[in-house]
Amino acid sequence: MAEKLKIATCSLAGCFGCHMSFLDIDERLIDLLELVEFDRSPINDIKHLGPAVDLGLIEGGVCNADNVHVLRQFRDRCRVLVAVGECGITGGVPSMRNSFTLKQCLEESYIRGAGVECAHIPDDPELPLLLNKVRPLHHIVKIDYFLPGCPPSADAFWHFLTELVAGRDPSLPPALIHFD
Amino acid sequence: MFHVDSASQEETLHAILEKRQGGPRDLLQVLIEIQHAFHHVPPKVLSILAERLQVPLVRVKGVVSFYSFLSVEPQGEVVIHFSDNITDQMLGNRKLASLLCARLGVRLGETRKDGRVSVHLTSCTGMCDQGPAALVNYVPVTRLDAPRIEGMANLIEAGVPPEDWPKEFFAVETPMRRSDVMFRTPMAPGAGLRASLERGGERLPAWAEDLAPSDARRHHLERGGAETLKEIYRSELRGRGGAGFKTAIKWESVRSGEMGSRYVLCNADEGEPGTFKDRVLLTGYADTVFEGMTICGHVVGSKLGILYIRQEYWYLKQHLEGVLSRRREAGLLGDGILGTDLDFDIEIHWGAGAYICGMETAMIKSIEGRRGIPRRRWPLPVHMGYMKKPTVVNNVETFAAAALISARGGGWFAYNGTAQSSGTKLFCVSGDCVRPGVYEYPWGVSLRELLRDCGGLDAQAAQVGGPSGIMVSRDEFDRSICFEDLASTGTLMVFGPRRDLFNVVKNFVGFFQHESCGLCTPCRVGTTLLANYVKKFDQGCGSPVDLGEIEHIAKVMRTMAHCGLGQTANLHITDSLRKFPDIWNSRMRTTRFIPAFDLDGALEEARELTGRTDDAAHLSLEEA
Amino acid sequence: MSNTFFLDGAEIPFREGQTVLQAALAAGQYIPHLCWRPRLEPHSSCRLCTVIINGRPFSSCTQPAMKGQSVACDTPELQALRRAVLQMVFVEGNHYCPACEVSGNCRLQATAYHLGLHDNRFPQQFPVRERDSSHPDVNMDRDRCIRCETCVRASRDLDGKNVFGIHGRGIHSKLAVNSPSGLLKDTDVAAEDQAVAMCPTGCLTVKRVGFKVPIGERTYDMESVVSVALKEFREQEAAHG
Repeated sequence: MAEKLKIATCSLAGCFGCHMSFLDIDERLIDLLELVEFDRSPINDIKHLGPAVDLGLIEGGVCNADNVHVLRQFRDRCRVLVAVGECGITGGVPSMRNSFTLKQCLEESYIRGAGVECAHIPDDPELPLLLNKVRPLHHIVKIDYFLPGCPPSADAFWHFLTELVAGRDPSLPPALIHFD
Repeated sequence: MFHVDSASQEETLHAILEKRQGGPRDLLQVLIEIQHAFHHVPPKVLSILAERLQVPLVRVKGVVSFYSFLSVEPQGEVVIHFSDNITDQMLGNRKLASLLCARLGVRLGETRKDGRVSVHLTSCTGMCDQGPAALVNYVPVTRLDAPRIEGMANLIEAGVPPEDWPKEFFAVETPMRRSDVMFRTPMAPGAGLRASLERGGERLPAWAEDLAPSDARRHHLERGGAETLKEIYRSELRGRGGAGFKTAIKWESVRSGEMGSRYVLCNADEGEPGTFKDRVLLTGYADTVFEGMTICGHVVGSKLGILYIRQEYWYLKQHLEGVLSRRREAGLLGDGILGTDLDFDIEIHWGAGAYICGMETAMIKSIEGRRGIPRRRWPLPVHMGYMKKPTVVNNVETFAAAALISARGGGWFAYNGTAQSSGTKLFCVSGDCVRPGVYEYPWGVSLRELLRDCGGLDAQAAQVGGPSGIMVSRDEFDRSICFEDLASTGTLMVFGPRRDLFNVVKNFVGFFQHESCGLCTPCRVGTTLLANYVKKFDQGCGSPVDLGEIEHIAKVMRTMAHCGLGQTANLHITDSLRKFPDIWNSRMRTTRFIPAFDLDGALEEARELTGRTDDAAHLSLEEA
Repeated sequence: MSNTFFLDGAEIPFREGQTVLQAALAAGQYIPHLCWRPRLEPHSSCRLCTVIINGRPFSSCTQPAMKGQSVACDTPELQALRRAVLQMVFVEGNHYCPACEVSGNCRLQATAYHLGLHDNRFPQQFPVRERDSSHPDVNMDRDRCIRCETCVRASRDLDGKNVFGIHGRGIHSKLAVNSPSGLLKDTDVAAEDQAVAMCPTGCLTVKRVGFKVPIGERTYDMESVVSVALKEFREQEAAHG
């Protein structure tokens, strides 16, 4: 039997909705596990990315310095990198903050917003610093494939992964393409 | 600011509107006069115009915001536009603009607080043979250098109005460096027109002798037009504006088109950077150009010709109006031309800073007083053009050639040139050469011969046909310029051995981004995406992946754009990629994809807001 | 009806004066389009309906149908170019489908599905444009405007109002309205206007009705843009010939 493909997944500036939808492939997960094994992923709670991964799936856009580090590491170690979902592909809902300056956003949240006590913009070095704009993944690194949807449906995940693992073009048929 | 109290403002406005019929077509011409009078279009005036010219306010504002030389922001008493063609840049225009700005304490693109002066950049002003150039209150100042800039700054600070500046500042030369059969011997005004009218014959055919005198005269006129059309056919003249459509076919389509009003439009928009032959023709040979239009009027049965001329040539206004009134006095224009039944007159319409208006359907819209957006291709202007009537649109040089063909015969003209490109052609030469200027050669001349004659043979590259044309390398210098090989509007920009051609690409890509009209998606967005990629390479962030993207965008624009602007706005990029890959490759610091923006810079705002300076508050360009 | 031409090899009859697009739709053949609508003057700006005739590209919404001509439309190369043009539309504005109330009723989105758009490919431009919520019944979100001028034409030719226009040039061109204040509230636009109803994106919307039909049950959730466009054309032909 051929060696199983290694898959890693993560969520950057996203909501984990894509991951939830991925899990919605339900019992097909078992079929999938015949073909692949999971490296770093919130699904198995492995926190560190292995040195050589075949397929990286990234949900969410890039909103802070830590996202940049993780994304670059995925790019370095994954043979094929996939932007999953609206946020990874366009920046999505988090990038709606791009219509405002970072100052406006942070002051609204931490200084002037409703219910704010102890007005103070968080400055703990433990916190990743925010980029002035939220970016889709392909602004930062080369992305090989895009899996659209908010989230992509379980069927879209299934179609995409099985085609890709079989070495075919994983493009979705129109019926599986959804942006919402 | 340019102060006007509201009473005198109203009076000026009234005087401007007085001269006009008061229809929507007047909008652009009225706006230009208002801009010149007030150095902006005051918001209050917009509503008055909307009402007086019966144009919705949203459309009035649409027109003002479309043309570069119109503005709702008040401009200074002295408005300076530095020509920003690549040839100006090679002669140091940006440094001179910075010098003037520093001297006057004003930022480029802005108006000084006291309203004394505004300084802007503008697309090529057609003075490339004597750059760097600028427009001062819409009048060209040429051969700028540091002393002249110093002089200008002093005059501006002293409050001397540009009308009183030294005359030599405004000297414009019109050298015809080489002339051939067309322009070696000037044509006497009227010679071509007389020949056209006389082709009606001494006598009418026997069957027509019983006609009423007025019908007989009209028949005579018709026959003359038909015979002149045959001469144009014989000459095999092709349009000089770039597309090279057979002039006779165009004229015949209008001649045999729908009865009623027909129009003759002369395109003197000449916006293609590096082109200035219309300027030279309209300065030295305006009679010949107007005569060509009049002959066209005779052939196609039109009563009105319109010269659409770019505002960069505003300084020719008096001269051109003078030539027109002289021609009227000499019976060469107006009703009953040269004692025949031919009625034809010519109006001048001004552009207002929009390259796209050189596209014939955009020009028609501009003459109609609207935004210069290229129309759909069908029906063609020969069937439905200006005011939805059959319309001939030809280039300045085409009309001049037509006048000479009428005077000297189609065979005379066709003797020169190549099989597919008859006659001689004007070439505008600028850039790194000893003798820039206008040259007349028979079509088919080799690029090498042209470069030798102008003293530019050591060039590493040349741009033939302007930014929308072809970038050629040294090993192509034996190619010949004609429709069979290197088709061209007649523009040649020469780039010497030490030039960084990437600066040429940067200039051209910025030009097209600025001049895209915005109608169609591939051009509107494509020009901006390309400009951003060029910037990415300029900043050393380009990668092979990006080169692929650039090729892809160029291909999309070539096939999908609505008009010639978008279809050709990418050619300089793909030409340079193919012929001069080093200018791109040398700017790649890495073979892997890196962002187009400064990642660490993207954290700067957050660092300021949090006061953080720790290591985690920074991002490197690359990391392992 | 003896006049015919060939669309991807299929023989298509046409009437004198019909464009390639009109004849194709009349024959039940869909050619992708966004700015063209049956009741409006063609605009030729979205360029999606570009077809190849005798080796040269033409927008089929303006190109007159001609006897015997061979038109290539549904080729992989043209579909890829159309996708690229749509991707340009998407990166130029801010089209956040998950956060847009017209998602599912949006012609732009449905056309993207039809053309198999997976991503926006090019760098997002993230423009910052003015929104106009001044009007009591109509909202204008310029982030979602694709400059198709459907509203400009519909307001002028169907509503008889001239509410909309375009200001500026090139990438800086933007949708504008006919009032001295530049605000929608000072125009005579109404929620019932065709200009609002025909907007192919979420740029012009009627307030307070956005979620009357739940996501998942909307126009393009139920049928494809192909059948919607063909139906729209047939209805128009039946009403006006």
